Amino acid sequence: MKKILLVNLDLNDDVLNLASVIESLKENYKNDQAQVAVYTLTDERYRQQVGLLTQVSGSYFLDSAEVSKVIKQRIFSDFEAVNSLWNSIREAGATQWDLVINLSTTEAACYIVSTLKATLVQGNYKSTEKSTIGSNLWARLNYQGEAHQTAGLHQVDNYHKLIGINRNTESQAQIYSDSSLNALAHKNISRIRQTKTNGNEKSHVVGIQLENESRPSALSLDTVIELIEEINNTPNVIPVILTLKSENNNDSIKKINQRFNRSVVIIETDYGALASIIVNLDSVIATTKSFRILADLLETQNVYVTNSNQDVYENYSSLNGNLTVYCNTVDYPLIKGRELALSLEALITNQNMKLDLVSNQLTIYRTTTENNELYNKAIAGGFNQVEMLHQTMKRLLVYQINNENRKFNSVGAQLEDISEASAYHWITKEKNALSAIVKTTLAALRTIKTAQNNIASRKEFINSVDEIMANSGENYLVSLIAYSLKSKLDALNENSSQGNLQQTENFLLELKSQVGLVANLISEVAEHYASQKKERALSKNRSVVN
Amino acid sequence: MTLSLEIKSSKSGNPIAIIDGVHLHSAFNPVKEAELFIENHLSALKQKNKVLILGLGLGYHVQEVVKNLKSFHDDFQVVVIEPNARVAAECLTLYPALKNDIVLYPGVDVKKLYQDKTFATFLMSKPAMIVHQSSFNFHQVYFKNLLSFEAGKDLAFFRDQLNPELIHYFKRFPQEATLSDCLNTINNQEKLLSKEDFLMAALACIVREENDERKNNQQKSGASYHEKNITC
Repeated sequence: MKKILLVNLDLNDDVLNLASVIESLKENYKNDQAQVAVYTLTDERYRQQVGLLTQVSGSYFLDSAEVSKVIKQRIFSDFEAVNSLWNSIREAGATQWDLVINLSTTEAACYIVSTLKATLVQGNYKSTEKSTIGSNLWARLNYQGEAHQTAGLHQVDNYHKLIGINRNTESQAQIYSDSSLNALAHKNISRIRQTKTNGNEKSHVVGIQLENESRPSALSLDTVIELIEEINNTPNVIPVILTLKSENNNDSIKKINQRFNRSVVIIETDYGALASIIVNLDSVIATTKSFRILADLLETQNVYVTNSNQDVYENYSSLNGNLTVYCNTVDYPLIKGRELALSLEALITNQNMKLDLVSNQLTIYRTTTENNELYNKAIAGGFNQVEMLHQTMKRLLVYQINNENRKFNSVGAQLEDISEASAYHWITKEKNALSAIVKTTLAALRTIKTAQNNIASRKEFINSVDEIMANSGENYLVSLIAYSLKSKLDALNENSSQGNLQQTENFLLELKSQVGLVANLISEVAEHYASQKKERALSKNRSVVN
Repeated sequence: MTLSLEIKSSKSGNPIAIIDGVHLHSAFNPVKEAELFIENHLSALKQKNKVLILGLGLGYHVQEVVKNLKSFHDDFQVVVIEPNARVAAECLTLYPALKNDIVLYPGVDVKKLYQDKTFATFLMSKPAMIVHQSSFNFHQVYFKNLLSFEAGKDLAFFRDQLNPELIHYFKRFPQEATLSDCLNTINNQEKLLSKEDFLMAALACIVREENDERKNNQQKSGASYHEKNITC
């Protein structure tokens, strides 16, 4: 029996993404003689969500809240935290694992992974010298301990790349649901559906997630009430409120009941029953990642409301057509119920009409496919075109660095909404950053040969490498390869300084060739917009002649 | 110093405890006295199902608390601290059923009390607190120590409670070392040599993140905080 441990210790509310990874792992090893048993190590606060993962042979939990509590409170000795942490990982630490896969992004998780007994580790871990070692480029891009560099790729895809397996798109990842609860939920939701019928047209029941009222980033109750009012005025659409028992939303529930005279169905549940409810709903408006991922896994249409830019590029729905409502300020109350109702309408009808009514502080994105690749396409509201172009090119660059055959023309449709002015702004920025790196890389390569024996050259060499490193935390295309170099240098562990210098030279030469890829991409963007401009001029001339 | 303890009968016939000549309960009707006393705490008992009682005496007020909690909540938890073990024993002899409804800590040293993780966790849940004044007055120093307790920062304070598997590892650190000192040692170590070293390095990261988060929260709220802070 091959034992695999999946580690995700991030406090990111996205552990349900493990379902797709487990499905793919099972598929990947299905022809192996040794059977595969997959275990998980996640944070204690996601115990309920992990309970929904059906194909898991065992689950371990690290209680980080307990460790934090001990550290905060004067009545506990600080050393109690050592006991708590030790007890948390004791069982997983006692097992000999064939493969440990670390999907976490934090430094603490890398150290914890290094305490485990593993034949092979994929993802990031710590060496005895405390360097962070990434098993491949995708692992390094998944590490956010020092710099926020990401691949601009959907998180689940990034996980698969990190492990080096294909995403199993043939079968849907399995989620636990109780058949008797499914039947009960089906019966109850059918009954709700019958309360608003118009001839033969089937009513649409939408679940609105009521988030913990004490959470600062939660969607405000006023917005939820406005949304219910809007939906109530829409023919054939019925709102129901979904809330977790653990969220303690009693005040909000009371206010909704008062405002709508108990006419809105409020479903208080836990994760065990939530799957049964969501699978029977027609759509969901989710405000947390776990609700959105669960709706995706159950193939229920959804709108996901977020104020995290990262969610737009890495955590959007993996189902074509679903929407992400991104609020570009931290204040969710800015979102109007009307705007969410319009988004819901666009989701249900699969049309983009009326969405120009949303404010500039919102962007509505729709999950779209181009050449088998999912991405988030802005369909309404104000959006940062330069950032959108940047993420698209970054994604393409990472594929090219990884020797995957992706050409510039594979992302043509993704550039449709990006104006020429935005593109030229991006090109100028990227060119400047590129020149700086080229200059310092060449300087480093020039001095590396003499750096061994000459103190002045060594100083110059170190300065050049430092300048490259300084760029690794920036957000340019070329920073991505600087970050990759930085990770490799961090993990450098040759026994002699001569060996280290030799390796550094190899890395710099690799960087030089990757700089060529960046330069190519920038030129291709420039050519793309130049040819469009030329095309427009020609067609203008043609129309004048005609 | 040993205090004298007498058990006498009140006018109502209920037994009462007298310590060094001072009555812990009403000499007329201790049950009625307890009812009136707990009436002042009814709103707290309605709101919270966890109650910490300082002073047991012969338990009349405790019985009253339990009676009310049973009427307000499906489940509840009552923890009683009684510094005088003899008083506690007398109470349980007279009213043995009481121990089914409460967790009693009789004559337990304050430090030992906090070493009991269950007790410390109970306090973390912010229970309602009821002070039996006449018991409190007899043991003012004890209760004041209890209420202002701060766990020792050094390793010596915690050595007995360390997980047995970690005792050998922590022998390398001096008794007076704080957790910050230990984490700093690991931070300054060039190489991590054992599973425990990696664990400590992970803890250092968690502590750092925790401190950063608290600083951020403090900056956001503009409020000062009085929680302990450890550095590494």
